[in-house]
Amino acid sequence: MSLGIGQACASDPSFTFAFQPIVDTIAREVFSYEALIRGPGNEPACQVLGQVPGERLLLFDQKTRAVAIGLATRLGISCLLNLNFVPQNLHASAASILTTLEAANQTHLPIERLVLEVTEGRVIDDQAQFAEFINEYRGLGMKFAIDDFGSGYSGLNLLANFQPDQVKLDMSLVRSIESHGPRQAIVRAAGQACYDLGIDVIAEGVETVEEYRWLADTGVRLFQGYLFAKPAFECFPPVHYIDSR
Amino acid sequence: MSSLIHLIYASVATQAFGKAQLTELLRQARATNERLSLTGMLLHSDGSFFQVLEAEPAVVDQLYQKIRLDKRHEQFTMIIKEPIAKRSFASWSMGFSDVSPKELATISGLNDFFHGGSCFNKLDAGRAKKLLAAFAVGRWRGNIEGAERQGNIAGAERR
Ligand SMILES: Cc1cc2nc3c(=O)[nH]c(=O)nc-3n(C[C@H](O)[C@H](O)[C@H](O)COP(=O)(O)O)c2cc1C
Repeated sequence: MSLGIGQACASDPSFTFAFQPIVDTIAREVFSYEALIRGPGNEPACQVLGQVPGERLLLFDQKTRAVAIGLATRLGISCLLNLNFVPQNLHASAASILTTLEAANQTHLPIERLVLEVTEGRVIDDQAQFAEFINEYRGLGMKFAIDDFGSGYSGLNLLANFQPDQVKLDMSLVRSIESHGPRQAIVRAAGQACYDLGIDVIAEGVETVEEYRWLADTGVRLFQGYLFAKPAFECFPPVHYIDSR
Repeated sequence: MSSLIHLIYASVATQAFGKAQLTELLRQARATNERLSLTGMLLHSDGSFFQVLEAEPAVVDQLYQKIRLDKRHEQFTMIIKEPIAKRSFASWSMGFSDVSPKELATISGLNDFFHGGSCFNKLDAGRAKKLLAAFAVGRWRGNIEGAERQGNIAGAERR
């Protein structure tokens, strides 16, 4: 039997989750698990989401997070839990976050463990208003991450209005960074700004030892990527740590 | 439950702060803060201040206004102001530490810094602690010699 298959309404596709760890390579421990939506047979996210009609996406999104929380709790999560969040208009988003809070309460997962990942592109539409909105929930202890940082057209200026708990460097910045000057310069600058503001930097999509070493030498200590662990279907996978030199 | 925020700023002293001046400053500040249900911590290092103020929004704003008018320091940098779920310095009307830049700079990882019954003890891994770490490696300070300016992002965590 499957652990956490959910169905939002009759017409919604069935779905469940895979989990990919975000590791702290200095403490050598899992810092968080990101919940990634999958089909019941481990079909990729796009295949599941592609079946959801546009007008149902928000409700579906909301429902999936509750299922992810339930599943992660049953798996015995003891670190942070990163969940994707698709903000729409602020009113609808408020309702959506409230159901997530409710799900956390029901499963006795402390709210402080929840990290909502918002993509950069979504955040920038109305930064000031969004910041105010988000801060309400941060007052309850919920954490926020900016996902895919560096993939869009907004960059560091985002941090002027809103200082999230985490910034996730997009894999397009991470790819082959050990030999790519412009990417190095951007990551250094972003890393410095985040450090100065008390924001955790997570390098996403790390695939090679070379990428990892360059980032680690620059002061990044939180990593997500195939190099450490692939997303694992309905479970928390073992982590492969890289030996330090 | 009422809402809480913290405001974290750095400033530069306009006069020498010896033990006597610091003691007097703290005595006064703590008395006021207790009345205001304001908690936090103050770090002094060779003419640089770093302070965390935690309370209800209006209380923090008012006190910060007042502190900014205090001629004993200048060059204010408000680093962050945001809602918090709980206080990091709940039992401190104003925790305090006076450390030399050298001592600050040699902190390897924050745990050394947080040992021994100070207000920094068991500080959770939240924003206040991280900003304190940044301050410890020279960020948010005036022109401090030897302050880390470039290169490694997380100077304090270097292996
Ligand atoms: C670095 C620094 C930190 C201070 N922190 C506080 C504080 O936490 N609480 C406080 O009441 N006053 C603090 N003060 C003192 C205020 O600026 C002000 O002198 C004090 O509130 C006395 O105001 P009053 O004369 O109106 O009572 C601080 C001053 C300095 C220079």
